[in-house]
Formats: sequence, C-alpha cells, structure tokens
Amino acid sequence: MSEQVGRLRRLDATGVPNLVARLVLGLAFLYMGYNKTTDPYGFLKLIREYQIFAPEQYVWMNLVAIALPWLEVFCGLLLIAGIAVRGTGLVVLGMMLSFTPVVFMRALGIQEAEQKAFCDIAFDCGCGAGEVNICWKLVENTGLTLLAALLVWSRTTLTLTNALAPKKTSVK
Amino acid sequence: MREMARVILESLIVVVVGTGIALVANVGSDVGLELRRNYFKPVGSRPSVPTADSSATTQPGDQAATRPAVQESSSPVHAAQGSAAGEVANKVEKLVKEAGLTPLRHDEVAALFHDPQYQSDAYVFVDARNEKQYHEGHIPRAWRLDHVNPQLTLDLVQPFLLGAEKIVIYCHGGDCEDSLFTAGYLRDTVGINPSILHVYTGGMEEWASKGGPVEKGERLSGDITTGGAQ
Repeated sequence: MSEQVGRLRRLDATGVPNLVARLVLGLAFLYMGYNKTTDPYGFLKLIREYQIFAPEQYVWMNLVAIALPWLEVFCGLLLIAGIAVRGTGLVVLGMMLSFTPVVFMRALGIQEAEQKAFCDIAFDCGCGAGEVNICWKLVENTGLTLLAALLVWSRTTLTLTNALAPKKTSVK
Repeated sequence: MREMARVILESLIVVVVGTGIALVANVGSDVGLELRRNYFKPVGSRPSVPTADSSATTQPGDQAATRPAVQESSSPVHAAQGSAAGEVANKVEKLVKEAGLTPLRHDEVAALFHDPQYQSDAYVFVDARNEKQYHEGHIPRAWRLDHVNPQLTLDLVQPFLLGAEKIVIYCHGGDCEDSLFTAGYLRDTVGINPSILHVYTGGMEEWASKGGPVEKGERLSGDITTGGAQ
C-alpha cells in the first residue's frame, strides 16, 4: 500500500499528471464558458428550466447567467497559464460537484416525462456544448471532477506560479 | 491546514475576480443582460387602444374587463392533443390568450404570408429569436426584433411596426415564449395596439417542417429555400 502511494507521489512529482489535468480542464472550461458568453440570454433560459430559482429570484438567476460563463473562461485561462492552480482547481471542483447532481436530477425529470430509457435522453444542459447524451455527460463530468480533485490535492509543479515564486510552492 | 486555508483563500479570490470580470464584460457586451430586469415577467393582459366609445368604460389594467372580449376574437386552438408537443403548444397558446393577444395557426400565418398585403408591408412578420438563429433561417421578409436586446434593431423596424395593419411574431416554437415576451414589449413599451399583435406559436420549427420558404442571412438576402429544415 505504502509502496503504491510512494509510486503515485513520484509520478505526481514529475508534474505530468498535474499538467495534463490542468490543460484538459482548462481547455474544456475555456470552450464551454466561451460558448455561453456569446448568448447569455440563451443560457439564462436554460438555467430557468432547472427551476432552481423561484420566479421572484430573477436577480440571482441573472447574476448566475452573467457570471458563470466568464468565471469558467477565467478559470480555463488560469489553468492553462498555470496561475493559482490549486485555488482554481477548488473552484472548478465546486462547480462540477454542484452542476452534476442538478443535471442528473433534470435528466430524471425528463425521463419521467418522456418515458425513455435513461441513456436515450439527450438535452441541452446549459453546459456549453449544446444537446448532449446524459450518460455521456455524466461520464464526462465524473472525469472532469476527478481531474479537478487532482489539481487541488496534487503537489503542483510545472506551473507559472512556481516559475515566478519557486521557493513558496516548490515540491517537497 | 495552513496550506488548505491558502488554497481556499486563493479560490475565493478567483471567484471574486472572475465575477468582477464577468460584470464588466457584460456591461460592454451588445448581448449583455440587465441584472435587475425580469426577463420572464408574465405578459399581463392590457386593453386595446381605446376608441371614443370604449374609453369611458374601460380602465387601463382592468384585466377582467378586457380578457373575455379578446378571447372571443382569438383563433381556434391547435389541433394537436394528447402528445407532449401538443401539450406544450397548448400551454404557450394559453399564455398568449391570457396576455390578451391572438395566437395563429400555421395555415393562418401561411395565408397572411401569401397575401399581397405582406409584400406591401401592411402585414409585418417579426422574428423574436437571436441574430445567429435568424441568420440560420427565417421567414422571408421577417424583421428581427427580440425583447432581450430590442435596441439593436428597433430603430430600423419601428416605422414598419407603427404603419402595420397586422403584426405576426414568432420564435422557435415548442415551449419558446420569446414571441410572447416580444409581443408584450411591443404593446407595453412601443405602444402597438394589441388588437393587431398576433403570435405564431408553432414558430420557425413548424414553418420549416411544413415546407414554408426559409430565407437565410440578412433580411431580403434572396437566399431562399422552400421546406428547408432548421
């Protein structure tokens, strides 16, 4: 067991898993966030379909529709550039852990309404990639969540932050 | 522990800075949202522009007084019953009627489209979808005007709206309510008489699926296909 942990630590110390994780997450968030910034009203309508907010809470709904796409773009850029990687990873992890159950619940609602097999359901979840198959979406989200968790817990290397301030964040 | 606190602080800074960037970018965007605006405010019923005979008995905002008369003048409901799509169409049609506006079926819209009055701009069609969707395909000669960012096209469209005898507004169809919200905007903000406002609830999806001509690109681009799918 301790030998396996040691191997994982050595692998992590190379900085490669961290680099791959932040590039994959960074590009995914940049792409999905940018798609939403081009049509904020369309995104707002999709948020409304989740019925998370009561009609009188429209200011909060607007704030989410305005802030979330740009926050995703910002996180994507930070991850690609290697700035504040662990903090950004935590934000991304928080987003993934919030969105995935909500998307899952909405898919269950659609399944009940349309009487389809769960994996036959496809809808625009507001994730930024248009209409997607729910099972594929859940697999994708699970992968992105694991990558975000890796960024939070990993001992980061090969980042711009380390290059600029090596003493504060260097690998032990 | 201290390291984790640093990560949490870092994440809070990311959220605050990211939200700040979003608010600034939103203000500078043509398609930005207004934070304090309710984009889905129900379109309430309003009376038609009062005539000399009716103005003495009808008060503005007196919904109970105006709604029955408007509903009597409404077109028949959609034939689609039972299916989920039919239920959605009927739901939107109900909302249109509750707003004191007139829903139209495909055959009624097609008749207006082929009427010579449409070519002379006495009948005006309004596409309430966004610019991208409009360019992908709209009803030929339809103007683009949406309730979210009306300032983008209103100056161009307004003279035609004010001179129109009938205005037909549509969006995507299905559960799309943008045509209804745009009708509400034209009535409440532009001051169009609700008696000339009609909502095509089947929308662009039904129009294209039933073989109606579809124009791509700008208005009067000439790039028209018949029965083009969305």
